Amino acid sequence: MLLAQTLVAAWLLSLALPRRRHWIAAAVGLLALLPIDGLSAAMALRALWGDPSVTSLQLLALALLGRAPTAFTRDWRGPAGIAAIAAVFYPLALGLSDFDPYRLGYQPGLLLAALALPALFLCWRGNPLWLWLLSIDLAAWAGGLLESPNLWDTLLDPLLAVACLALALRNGWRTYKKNTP
Amino acid sequence: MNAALGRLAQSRWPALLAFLIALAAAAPWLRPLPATHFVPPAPLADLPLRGSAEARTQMLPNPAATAHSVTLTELGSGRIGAAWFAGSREGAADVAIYFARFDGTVWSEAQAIVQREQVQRDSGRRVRKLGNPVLWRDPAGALHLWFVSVGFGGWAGSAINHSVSIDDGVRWSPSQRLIASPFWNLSTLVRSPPVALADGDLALPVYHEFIAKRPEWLRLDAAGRPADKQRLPGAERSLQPAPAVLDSRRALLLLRDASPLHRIRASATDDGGQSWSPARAIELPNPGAGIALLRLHDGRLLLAYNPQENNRTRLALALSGDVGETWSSPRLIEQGEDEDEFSYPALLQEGNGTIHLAYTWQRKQIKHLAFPPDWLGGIH
Repeated sequence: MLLAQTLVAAWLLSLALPRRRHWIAAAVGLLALLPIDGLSAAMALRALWGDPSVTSLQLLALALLGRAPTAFTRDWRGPAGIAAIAAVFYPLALGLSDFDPYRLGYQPGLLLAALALPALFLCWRGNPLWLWLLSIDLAAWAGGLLESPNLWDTLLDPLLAVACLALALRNGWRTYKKNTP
Repeated sequence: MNAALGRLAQSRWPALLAFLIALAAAAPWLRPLPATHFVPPAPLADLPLRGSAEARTQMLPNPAATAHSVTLTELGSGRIGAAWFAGSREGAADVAIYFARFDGTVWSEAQAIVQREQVQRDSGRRVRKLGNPVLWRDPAGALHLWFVSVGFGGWAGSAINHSVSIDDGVRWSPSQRLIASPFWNLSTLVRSPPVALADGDLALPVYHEFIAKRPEWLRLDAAGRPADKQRLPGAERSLQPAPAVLDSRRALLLLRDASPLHRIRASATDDGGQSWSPARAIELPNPGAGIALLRLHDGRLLLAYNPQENNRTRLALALSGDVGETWSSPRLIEQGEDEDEFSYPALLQEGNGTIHLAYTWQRKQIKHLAFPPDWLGGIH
């Protein structure tokens, strides 16, 4: 999963590069794998923020390929939904109350049902993006791609939550400005 | 190619097919875990008196300037093993996990079994410091070691790692990281040994520190991977759960306090750990320091703790004959003053009845007491 850190590093770098030179960012991101005295930048990043979720990896790969979904580049509703889930989930999982929603991710039948129903509905309405994201997440979880056996870690991570909050605010503001005479 | 992929991504039926395939692959792990219960403790036994009722005291060999957080386990053939962390100071980069064996008479030289650089390589992550080891020998004879590591920040940023030895601690497997928290895997720590479950799983008493301190009950599958985690109810501002299994369904957890109450707290289960009672403060004081709990072969509970509210200058033992409802007055093991520290005890009873107590002595060494059960006869 150190390779995943290069995707994160490349994406962060691409935000700072002029005209989004993604291929330069990807090449420089690979340098994060080089160890210096036994420690690479990717290992330091991994210690700092852990492994990205598979949802993040999918979106990062699409972004670096120049095919970021419009549900994230233009629409505010999807990112706002993810940010809202994270805003409730993380404080509770970190000990805000006796209820720990993280437990739902170990044998995640209920959690999966709660996510699959809206994804299937949106697919039926002609928007299969969310079902694709969920399907690939689920396949990766079943295949043990991440170290964590908890489905939450495949679905969501704090960096994704922060990015979604920023996208929801930016896209929401643009939509508001566009619709305001 | 790109256009074909784009069309595929926007079609309903391929997405639905992909979902059904993923669902079929994941199906075996979606159902709730079957209920289980504890491996019951050995039947009650009154062991014959063995020689004099004297306690033998030794310092463990410590190759570093400081030592802390000892853990004990039986090794078989009348030997026990101990692990602790030691280095130039707590949290320093040179802190390693050390291991030594006791043959009933003397301790072996300490051997560094986990070092920071090795954990960094094993986990693929930066590791800043190591802490709290926990040893446990499984019924097949394999020795398990859990310990915490920190990448950035203080102990609240800890994660748990797991390593196994099949030759009584000579060689250890590369450590595996346990992911037990969703927020960058921050803040799951371990301090007490696990409890064996009847289906081959384990329950590891752990705790969370970041933002809120909370004890948790982490179930590990036979491969040592987290399979479930539950938070103890009503236990905010307590940590380091110390378990004692009473029978196949009942167990008691005593908790180190981190609140202004300065009282040890207790939680119990009567359904094999499926649910726990809300934690309640008991009469015993606690200065925010680690405790150790042990069910003796005769059924009594033995507790090692600091019997005061404000510091760690005294260390004591107490007994309970009624599964933790009431406790004897403390029998002092150490009585210091001012800056003295005697803390973080560990307890073990061998098959032959000998009881072992080990603890941090002045943060410099690990001290060990071995005594027969009748040595406790003076505690009332």
